[in-house]
Amino acid sequence: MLRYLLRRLALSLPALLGLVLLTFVLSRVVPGDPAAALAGDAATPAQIAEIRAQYGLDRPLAEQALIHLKQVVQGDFGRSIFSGRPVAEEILQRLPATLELTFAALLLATLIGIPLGLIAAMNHNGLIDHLVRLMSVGGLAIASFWLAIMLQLVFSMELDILPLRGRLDVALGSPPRLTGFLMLDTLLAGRLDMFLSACRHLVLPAVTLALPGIATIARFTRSGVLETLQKDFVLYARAAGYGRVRLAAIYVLRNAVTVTVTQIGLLFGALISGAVAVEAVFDWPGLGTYAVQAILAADYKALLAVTLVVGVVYAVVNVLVDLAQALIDPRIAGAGR
Amino acid sequence: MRRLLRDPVATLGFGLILLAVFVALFAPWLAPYPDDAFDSHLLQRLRPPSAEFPFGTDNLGRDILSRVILGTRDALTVALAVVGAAMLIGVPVGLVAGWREGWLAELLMRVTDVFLAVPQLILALALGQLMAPGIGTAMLALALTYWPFFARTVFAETRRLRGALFVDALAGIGASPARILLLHVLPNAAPAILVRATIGMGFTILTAALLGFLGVGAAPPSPDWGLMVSEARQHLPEAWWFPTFPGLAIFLLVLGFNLLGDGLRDLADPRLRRSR
Amino acid sequence: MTQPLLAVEGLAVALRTDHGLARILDDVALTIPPGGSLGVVGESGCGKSTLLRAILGILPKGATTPSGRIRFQGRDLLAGADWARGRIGFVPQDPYLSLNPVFRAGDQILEIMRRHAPGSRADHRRKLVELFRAVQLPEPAAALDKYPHQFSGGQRQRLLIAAALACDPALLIADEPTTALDVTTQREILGLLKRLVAERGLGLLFVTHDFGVLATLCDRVAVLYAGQVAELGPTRAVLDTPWHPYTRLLLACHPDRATTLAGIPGTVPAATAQPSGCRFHPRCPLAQPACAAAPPALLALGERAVACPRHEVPFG
Repeated sequence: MLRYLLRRLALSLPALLGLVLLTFVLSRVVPGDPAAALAGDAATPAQIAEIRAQYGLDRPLAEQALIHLKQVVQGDFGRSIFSGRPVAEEILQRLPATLELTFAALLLATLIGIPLGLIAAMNHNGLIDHLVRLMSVGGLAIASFWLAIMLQLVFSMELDILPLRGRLDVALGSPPRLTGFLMLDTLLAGRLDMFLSACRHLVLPAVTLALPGIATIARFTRSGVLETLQKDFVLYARAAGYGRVRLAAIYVLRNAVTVTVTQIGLLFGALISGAVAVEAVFDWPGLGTYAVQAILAADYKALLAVTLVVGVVYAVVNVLVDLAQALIDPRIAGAGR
Repeated sequence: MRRLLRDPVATLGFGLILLAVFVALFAPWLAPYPDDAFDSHLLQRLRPPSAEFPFGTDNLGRDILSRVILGTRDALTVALAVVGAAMLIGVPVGLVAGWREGWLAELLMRVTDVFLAVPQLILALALGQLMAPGIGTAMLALALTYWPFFARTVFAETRRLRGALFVDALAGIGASPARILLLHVLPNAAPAILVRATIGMGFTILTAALLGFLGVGAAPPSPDWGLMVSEARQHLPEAWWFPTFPGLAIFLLVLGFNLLGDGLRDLADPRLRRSR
Repeated sequence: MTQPLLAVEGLAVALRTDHGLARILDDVALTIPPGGSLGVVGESGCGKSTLLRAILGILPKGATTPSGRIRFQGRDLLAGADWARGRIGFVPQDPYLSLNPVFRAGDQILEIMRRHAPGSRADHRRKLVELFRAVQLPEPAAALDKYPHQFSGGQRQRLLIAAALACDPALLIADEPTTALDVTTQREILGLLKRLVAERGLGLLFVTHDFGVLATLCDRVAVLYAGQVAELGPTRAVLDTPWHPYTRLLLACHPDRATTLAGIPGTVPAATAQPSGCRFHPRCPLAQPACAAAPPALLALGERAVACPRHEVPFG
């Protein structure tokens, strides 16, 4: 299993290297003269030349690319043109908020989507089945920013039962930052009131973000279960006397979800994109709002760093997905043995 | 086509798209107040839906129904242009990479992988940074990030067909690779490309609307659906109709493309027909 | 006469298809005494699998409620077969496809035992290891925790035989259990089955294409054609002097395997469009106008039975 993991990690390296190269090219194309951009508007030619030398911008492009790679690997993304603070620091500040949101959404999508798909498949061509199918196409057609606003309109503004924006009630203050994940930090601080507030703040953003996920997962679980039900081993298990519930909920589902799990990996990309919209609507202090802020302020360093970090997170998630798949289906890791 | 219309779900999608195309083509005649794309009437701001303004009016007193109708044209044009451009890049890349072996094919597919290694929206935002924000930039960025999906699809189809007997036979009688690719491989890959394009249309409409909403796509005062939802945010909860109808328009159009894409996929891949 | 282990009487099953109702089985009658063995032969599509599925209570979704009777140890199976699970062991056709690839082999069998055999899980494990030894699976104790893909085809069939025996059945139903295997393995598996059935005094219902297998494994044989019993009798007698024209042609064309009748006009009729009268008459060299008019009854003659009044007429 460990060897499988290492091999899988090695496979994702070329794309990440390519991504670093791409961001490098973009960072050279974008600002015209990066040295001038770094030095600021009031810089003299001499200052610009000094900065150029300091950042290695006078060296050949290939060498610069290597320097860029080295910096990226060390986690040095330069300073934000907008705030003047190191980009890496700002990203680290905001990454947990986005991860907390996306993981909550992913959890929700899995917990709702898989049973939904299973029930639909067991009622193949029945009413529930048609409803789930319709929902699984419709859920992917809703613009998340619009859904977010509609949910705000109903639950926050009209009914006033859930908070409108942010991660935490301002009046409560905030827990000492340990992990950046409020779910953890509030509990570690022993503040149940804060934890509940954080949960309440998480509901609407997570639900909004989860909807396309529920749709995708329900859809693939459904077709996975339907496909598995056709298999000989299901017929055999019925003949041998498996219980109906156990057959559906465990015996068939485990085969069916191998496909679903792949989809969860692909879904993560959609979740990140959705997070940009959802964060914007709910003023969620994560990477999404950071990226939007960066683009509006023409802060290319910040934006490229976000691109890279998201790429890395994406790659890690996909490795995790493959690992989960290998755990569900012993043939996958076994093939390499 | 006839087989497609036998599937009620796909027919519904097709109907929604036909309706949208009709609305887009005849928008100036269909909209009750065709000038409201740009004109403002401050005396009638934020009126709720009524016989006069079925969808209500916005913060500048413009008829939202008219703007939704006028926006259909933009949404469809943007999506068509983006998907068309992405196809123009992605299909040849996929064909060449799928047909040839060696470093060129490797390089092309590795580049494709790099583009696929980041969620499309993030990459589009990064690329959009290259140029001044605006609808043109957004379209270019979307096209530049969507082509890898076509490249992947066409690559897979080409590789599959390359091993097929009839292509061997064609090569045997001396047909040139370009001829084989264009006359034999491409038409066989067409269903897969069509499915991908249909789904891409819906996806692009969603993403373009999001860019408009974030303020990095279409600029005011154009009747962009995403932009309208964004403008509406300051006027909530009073003007509930303001974000509702543009959002519904996005939903229905994207739903149309998704339903049609689903139906097409079932047709293109009969093996899955029964299970979906 | 003692009560038969399995008695099928007047069994009819139809399947709803796009082309109308397909009558897969029609008035089928068979019996197996305790410890007796019956082979069922026939071409593909003659209804063999549907017969098994009806007995096992796993008819496909489109099937109509079967009419007739299936009694196992004197109790009705058609109303619901759950009570008999475990008492009827089933060895499926394809060992590669019949085990779920994502669960350990042992767990899959233990689940069957949990539901249908008395005793604790530890008892079950002990018993299963014993069974694994009996079916000559290498490293029986370790086999419990392996996944199906870690076994060869022959080993998987041994696993499935062990699974069929796990709840101490009185009847073993085997659906061409060796077709997916190579010849050597086939012979080993058949030898194993023969020995286990004899040792444990089990009844056996064995579906096959293979006359050779029939002769070694079954004391009686039923020949199915187009969903009906054409001929029934002691294996030796039927194979040596077949009565029904269909059986005669089958044995003449394929001395060892009952596959499709090459060189004989026509094909097995579609189950949605059965011919009138005797279903074999359009292809029968002995056919007369009367054969098309009314279906022949199954004539019982001593130990044998045949559904053809002209069974003594030689081919001209």
